[in-house]
Amino acid sequence: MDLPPAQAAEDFLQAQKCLRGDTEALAALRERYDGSLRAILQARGATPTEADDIVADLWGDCVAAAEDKPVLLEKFSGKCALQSWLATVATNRWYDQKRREARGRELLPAESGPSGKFAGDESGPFAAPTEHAIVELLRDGLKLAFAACDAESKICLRLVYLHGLSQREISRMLGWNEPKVSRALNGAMQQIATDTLREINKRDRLLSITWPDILELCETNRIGFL
Amino acid sequence: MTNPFEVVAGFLERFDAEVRGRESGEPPEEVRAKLRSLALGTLPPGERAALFSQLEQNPEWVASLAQEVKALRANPVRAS
Repeated sequence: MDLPPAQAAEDFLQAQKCLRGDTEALAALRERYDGSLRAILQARGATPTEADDIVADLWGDCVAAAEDKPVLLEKFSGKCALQSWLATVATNRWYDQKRREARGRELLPAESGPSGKFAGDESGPFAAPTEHAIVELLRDGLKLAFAACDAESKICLRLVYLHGLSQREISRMLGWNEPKVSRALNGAMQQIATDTLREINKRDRLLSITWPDILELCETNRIGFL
Repeated sequence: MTNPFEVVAGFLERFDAEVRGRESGEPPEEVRAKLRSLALGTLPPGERAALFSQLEQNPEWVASLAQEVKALRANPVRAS
């Protein structure tokens, strides 16, 4: 998921050019990413029309401030690939929209007061979520998957992948041979992926998402955007 | 290349930090002694499960375990 430095620099440079009003730079960006963004959204569950609308709005917001929202590209830090970043923005927007629509359909028309707001819904059905709905879905799915993973496996995954211990050191610690350590780590990670996907699918069949999608969305959110 | 575990663990830690706040990273001495034994591979299996459970509740102590293991790189000790 780490970006080669040259690509990262180019992406950031392109974004800065767009922000300075370079219409050719923006056109080049659209040409490069428009098709792939629509394809990514559709692969994740959007209809062609939804994908078209979301991506069209996205380009509009890239360099022009929408009501009460900053210019979109100003938030791009260059710490990830621009395509991944745009895909995450588009996915967040699409999914938030779908959740708002679903909440609107769940409430009976009689519950809507004269103001048009739904009774008991203080924020209103069209209020922007404090956290993107898809971030909450990922968080909840991953939390459940991690909770199901045994303590020993979780700690060993942390030791190897966050603290840089070798599998040999883990094998000495546990009294296992190295192949057993490798199988245990791979198995635990695979189970986390499987359980996360199952939980997300159970909560929302609208979203058609793969483990690489989850990693991309988590990474882009992790490095802090929007 | 960022590994998948680092990606998802880092994503979740953002929420845990908000919920748990900042806690002391240092384990008490009796736990530290067990971490040393675990690093050496001499902690009895029966105690290992309990220690892993403690580490799960206090993930910041995992760094201390990692330190104990890494200290053996410079000063390997053969367990009797």
